[in-house]
Amino acid sequence: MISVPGVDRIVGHATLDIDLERGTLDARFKVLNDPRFIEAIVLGKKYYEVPSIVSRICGPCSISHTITSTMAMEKALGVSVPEPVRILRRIAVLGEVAENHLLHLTLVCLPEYFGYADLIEVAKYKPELLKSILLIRSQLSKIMEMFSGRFVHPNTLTIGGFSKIPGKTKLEEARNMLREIRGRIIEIAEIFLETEFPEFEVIMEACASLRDDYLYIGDEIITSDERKVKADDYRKVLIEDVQPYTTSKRVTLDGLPVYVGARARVNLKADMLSDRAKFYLKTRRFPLRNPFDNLQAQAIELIHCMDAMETLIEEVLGILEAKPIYGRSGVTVREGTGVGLSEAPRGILIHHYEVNHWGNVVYANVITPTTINSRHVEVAALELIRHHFYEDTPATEIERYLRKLVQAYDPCLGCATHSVKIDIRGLKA
Amino acid sequence: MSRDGGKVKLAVFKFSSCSGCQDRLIDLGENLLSLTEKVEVAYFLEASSRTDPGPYDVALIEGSISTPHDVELVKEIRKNSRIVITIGTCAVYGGIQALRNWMNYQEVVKQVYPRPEWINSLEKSTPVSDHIKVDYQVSGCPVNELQLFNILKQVLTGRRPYHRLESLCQECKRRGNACVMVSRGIPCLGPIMVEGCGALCPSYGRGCYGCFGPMIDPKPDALAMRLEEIGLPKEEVIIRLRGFTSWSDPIRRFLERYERE
Repeated sequence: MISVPGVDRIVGHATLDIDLERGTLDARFKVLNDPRFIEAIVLGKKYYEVPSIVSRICGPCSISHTITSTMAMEKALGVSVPEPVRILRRIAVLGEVAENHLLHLTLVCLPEYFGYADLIEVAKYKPELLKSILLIRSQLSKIMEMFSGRFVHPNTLTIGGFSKIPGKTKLEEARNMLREIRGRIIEIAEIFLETEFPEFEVIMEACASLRDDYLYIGDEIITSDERKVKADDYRKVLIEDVQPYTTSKRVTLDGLPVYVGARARVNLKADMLSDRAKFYLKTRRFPLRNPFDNLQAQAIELIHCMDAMETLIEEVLGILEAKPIYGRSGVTVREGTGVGLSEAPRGILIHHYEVNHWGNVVYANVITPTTINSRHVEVAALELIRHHFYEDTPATEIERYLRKLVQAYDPCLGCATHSVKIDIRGLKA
Repeated sequence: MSRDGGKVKLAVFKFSSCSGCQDRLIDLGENLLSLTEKVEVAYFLEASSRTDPGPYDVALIEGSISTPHDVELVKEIRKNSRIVITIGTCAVYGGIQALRNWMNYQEVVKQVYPRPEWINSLEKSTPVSDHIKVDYQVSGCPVNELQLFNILKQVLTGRRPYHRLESLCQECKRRGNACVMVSRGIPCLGPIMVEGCGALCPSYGRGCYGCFGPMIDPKPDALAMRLEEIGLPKEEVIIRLRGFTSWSDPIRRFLERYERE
């Protein structure tokens, strides 16, 4: 078992190198990010500083990072939080998943699949659609701000609970806003549910998710080969290794390429989706075997997140009817270790910390979903080439498909997917 | 303000960062679209596949400089752009990556990477302004999108942008918050940090941790004294100040002195 404190792993720049020259095909998905040494700079920091530092691993997923690290710290310090706090955290993560899926589907994929350079061109040809996207985005941000204070790098989420929780009027307002944008969200999801993608599948693969009632925060990892492990034992299934060609670590499920994210969640937990999401899933072939199906899974999750958020807000309102909510538990410092698990927009996110009896961090490890997916991207790229291309296929054609494939995995945000350079050797141009 | 009287060419670049500031730029949404009459987005990888090689009229830079390659690239950008604006705390002060500047770099690399020889990074993460001349700076982690929009608008109309640099306390008072330090004894960096976030943390019952960076002419000595008075041990005061923007000049200089005292 490799137990090295990890690597900073935000995908900002990546390349996919394909080598067709050798006897066997070889693909290398390289993350070329500037190393940011996140796991080293939190060492020696006080426990309460950590969530706001690791939040900066990724702006778009800052809520997931904050909540996951907060939960890891709470476990290390033996803090238990009130039930309403758990529900409110789930709402925050659901909102973040919805925002990220929306951004990926509309900003990255929509122009790509319909042949525009960017959303500004979409504005020219489909002004109504763009208006709708911007409206959803701004409404969702407003809702998120009610729960997390700030949408990018939240500031109400603290160890022990919330520094301030939304009251009854805010909650009702959030619920009504959700209802208003639902129709528009479904319209956007439908665009992707109707799109056709290149057919292919990866034969030997596995996927992993959390047992979480499809609410994105859980304490147990489940896999497609029916393994179940507790958070503390994450290393029993997800094996990390390092490669010279990338600044990111690679993760496999005992050597098997493993994928996480929307497609994994839908495949493993379809029965827990909201009724409306289930209805849309029925229009697709199940399970979703094609890596491109991740986009459809995101569209389905977009609908699910809206429904689940509404249900949870109703639940909090119900609790508020009966008694006032205390949003925060006290924290006392002690020595300990904790592992936090959540489903970030792009898949399983693991934060692991150890603190000493002064509350200073002595060990940190973070595994992000893109790290887990990177090996699967390589395998899928080779499969795609075997299934779809011949020796005389022009390199530009292969490149176009590979770019779309990498995009379908949604490796962090648009910056990554647009700057994926594809380098193909051994091909006649 | 464009070269040929046509649209202003805008480019957005990313260095070491979390992409959160670019994200806020996208969140400007309709505001940003309202500029498309005047502005052409020539280079913005997160939002567009169009890559115009330049030259640009306005370049926005997110992220800190932390590899030898970054140093080269940022100089290219300077040569290629009329106005350079750094956005966000990483670009302006070095960001959380700069927390490693306080540590032994060799140790840091060894901690994170089992094969340090594969890593090509600079010992310190530094602000863009350490390497090139920067025309305007907008700090924030993430930047406040309206503040950014405001500055963009001023630059686009050819004005020299005015940007308030008073302390967070002023903003907090305007919002009518009870001071968290006075009323609840919560340590807060507000007195020396710049406004711009909307006094978010104090409004939500937390102390400011300084993610927007220092105000103009800050008095960290006075704040450190006050924090000691409300019962924080010196060690803890150092921890609080050695946070997000500790690599900014005034705070760094203060800390170097204070830690020796």
